Amino acid sequence: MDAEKKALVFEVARASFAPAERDAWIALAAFSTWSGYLDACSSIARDECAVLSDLLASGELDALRHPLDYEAVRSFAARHFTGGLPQSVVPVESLYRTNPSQVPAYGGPSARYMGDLASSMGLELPARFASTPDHLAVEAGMAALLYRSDANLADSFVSERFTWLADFRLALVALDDDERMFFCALVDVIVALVECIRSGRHEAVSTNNLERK
Amino acid sequence: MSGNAITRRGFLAGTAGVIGAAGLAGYMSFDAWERAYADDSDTHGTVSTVHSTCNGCSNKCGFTAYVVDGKLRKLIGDERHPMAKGKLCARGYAYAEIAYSKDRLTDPLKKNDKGQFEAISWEQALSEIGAKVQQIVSSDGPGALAMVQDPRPSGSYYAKRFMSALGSPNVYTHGAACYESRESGIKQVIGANSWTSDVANAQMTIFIGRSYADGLRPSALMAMEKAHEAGSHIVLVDPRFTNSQKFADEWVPITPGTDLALVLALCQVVTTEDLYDADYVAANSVGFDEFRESIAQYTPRWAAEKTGIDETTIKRLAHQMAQAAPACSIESGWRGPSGCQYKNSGELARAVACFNALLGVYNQKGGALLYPSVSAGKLDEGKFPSPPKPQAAQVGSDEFPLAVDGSALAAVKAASEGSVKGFFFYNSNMVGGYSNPSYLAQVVSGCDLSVCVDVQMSETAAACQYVLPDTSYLERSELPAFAGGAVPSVSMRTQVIDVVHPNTKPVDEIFTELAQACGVGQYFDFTMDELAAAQLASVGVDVDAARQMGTVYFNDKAFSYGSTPNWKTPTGKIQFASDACKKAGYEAVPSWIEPDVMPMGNELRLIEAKQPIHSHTMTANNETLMGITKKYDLTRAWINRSFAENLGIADGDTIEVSNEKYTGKIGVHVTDRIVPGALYLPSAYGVTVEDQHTAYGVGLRPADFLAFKLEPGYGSAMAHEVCVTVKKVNA
Repeated sequence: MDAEKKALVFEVARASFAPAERDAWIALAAFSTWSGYLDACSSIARDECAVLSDLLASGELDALRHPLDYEAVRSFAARHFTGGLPQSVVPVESLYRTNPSQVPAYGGPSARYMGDLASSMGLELPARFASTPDHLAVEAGMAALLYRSDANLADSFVSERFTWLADFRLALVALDDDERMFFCALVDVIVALVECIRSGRHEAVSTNNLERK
Repeated sequence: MSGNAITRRGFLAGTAGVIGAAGLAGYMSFDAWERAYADDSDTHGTVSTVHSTCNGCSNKCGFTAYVVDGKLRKLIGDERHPMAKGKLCARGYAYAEIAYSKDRLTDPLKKNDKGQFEAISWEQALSEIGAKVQQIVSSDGPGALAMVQDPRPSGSYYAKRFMSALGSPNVYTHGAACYESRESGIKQVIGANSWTSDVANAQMTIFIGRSYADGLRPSALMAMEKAHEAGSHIVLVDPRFTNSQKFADEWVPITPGTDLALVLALCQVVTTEDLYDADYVAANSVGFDEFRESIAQYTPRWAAEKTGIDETTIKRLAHQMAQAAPACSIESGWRGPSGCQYKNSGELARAVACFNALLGVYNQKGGALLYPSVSAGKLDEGKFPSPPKPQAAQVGSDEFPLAVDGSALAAVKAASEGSVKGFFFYNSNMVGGYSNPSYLAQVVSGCDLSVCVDVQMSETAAACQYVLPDTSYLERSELPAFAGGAVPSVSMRTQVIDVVHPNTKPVDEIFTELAQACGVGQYFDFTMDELAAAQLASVGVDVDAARQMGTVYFNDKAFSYGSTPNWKTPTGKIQFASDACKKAGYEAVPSWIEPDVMPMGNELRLIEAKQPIHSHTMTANNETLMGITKKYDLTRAWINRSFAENLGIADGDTIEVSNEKYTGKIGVHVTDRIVPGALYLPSAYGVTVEDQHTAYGVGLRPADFLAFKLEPGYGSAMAHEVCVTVKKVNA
């Protein structure tokens, strides 16, 4: 797959799940930029990701055809990406990936890992994510950076990191909110991409093992 | 640059950039990281220790926090802290989870047109609240604003200062639903709000409705244990056999609401049989003759009919106490029968204080001790200018003149009548249980302005228009907490971990910014650190040393046995008779008052009390503590075996508890360890906000059955003045 296209997919996810910034969102949602994102999705689907291709064909990602305007994104985040409410779906990995004996809470192993990872790579996290380095915006941002730097490491990171999105999507789709499908679709793209990458890595490992035998 | 961007240190890269070779070399997979560090986090990384104080209940026990790479790993109770004495309770350990709780509030919230909360910016929240405050002050005066805050070092100071700056005297605590009547009644007699029973050194102590092992304070329980082992005679008067019984010699079951009758009869015995300390009474008191004349009617036989305690036992207890004097006392109580539970709570507090006075036990070894305290001295007015004293009288002071702290519920009454228009709450869940929650929510949500500052969505926050997210107690330093005691002390809450959610703020910043938004910022032109340093300097303590030590003692102010207290009453004496009480509609001397309700037929009086693992509603959302609740089925109602058998109810059945206010179902514990006329519910459960994922819908909330009515003169909630009926579900 084209690493830059994957970087763009994660870049859009980063911008969508981070606290909305008016100018940045307007620039992202501009026709030319958003077309680039949709083209990237189509290209990835066509070239190497049958799961994503099926999703596109089924129409389940139609919510992505027209990006929400800034006010809709801001308002959705204000209702759902804030903590402590019945309709909260804060996109932080620690709140979704725990073993059955653990209570979901901020600052879990994924947060400590992401903090250590950023530190060991000489990266500085935005202050607003200092205590939630496993926020989807950070993880997506990290994926985008890695795809622009080393696609193999990026695939490794992505295949490890984003499996929690299945549970996050369940929480998103349960919301009583018309705009939720736009965010679900953004997640669906990543989940499909991750599945393809994991599948590809699995095949590569299997091939290597067969060759050794 | 976007505030969301990840950057290379020193380079403006954003995610459009790339990571250099050195950076990529630092990459490690999660598996590799987990193998290297995750299981080794206690020994890996930088360890720091911080002395701070718990927030799991009102005790504020001191602890040492061990932090590894910024993450809290361990808490150990501080030996030096007067409440902890080296121990924390289950709440102390588990409540620390609040810092990382999934249910933390992370942003300022405002209700939209649909009544749903939405995150807004601090600028918007402060600006809108400021405008509404100024509008209320302009139209109705500052007396139309009220504040309810749960006493904490910074919260108490800043909340009161904020309201004073606005010109409002209407600052309240949770006292009306806890200790208000007790402190107010005691103050009428001895001029102080309470005493500490010297349990560890006593020959005999009577507890009335208080259980040290349930409303847990480690040092108090240790004292009780020490007394028990030393052979002290400890008596628990309670409708229910509590967890403290392990350390007691005698359980005296009592019909709830009649504790006043018992104490009046104890007074009657020691006065009519001349067992009281006549010299002490003559030297220290006023109104004794009037008291003795009145008390004569309250014979043990009369009290036996009221209380269900036989006459012989009442006499024996009086005789035993007289023999043990002055190394004995009736313990002051807390939220129990004298605190806020009955129409006669304040009178009970007065009667208990009078009984101890009869035996001359104040400040005697083993008696009732009035400990010294220390508070901050006068500060530099230039740096910390005092707001003018509010001119108006506190709302409720006319109707409830005996309430030493005022009554928050009086402010609710005023709001329901339209004279209070704006309500602030700091860490107070008034709606969740000070009285009937539905009624309180209706009044609060009907105000022109309602603002709640808290860490999670409480019932009170849910009723408000604005919610401002507080940092948890582990994420902030606070002002010094001065405490009275055998040796007065000051303890420090010091920040343990970094702020988890960057859009939350500590209480000092919130009130400072609110003050600025309301146009009274000139009274807040200092930092909390500056104020803490100044307060400590005023008593000769260095702030850095205090934070380093956790607790500092004022040894030169230490208590000594045998001194005569300075009676801070209007007469300068112990008052067996009180003009203020008479003016408030009571007899001048403590006298019998019937409870407001009495169970009839198959009715039961609903009583509630704490369990040692919960502090009312604030710990109910804690997964670890709620795990204990579920494991031991602690939400069950208790009813007496004989009563249950008459209704065909067996232990473990589900019952429906009902009255005109509420109906709910709960499991039942059928036991001989509760008197026949009562039904007990633990006080921590029945949370109704879905936002608290762990607590929501677990158990019943006693306050739901309660009508909104207040104790005359004192303004307390009368939390046990409620009757219910029960029936077996699917019978």
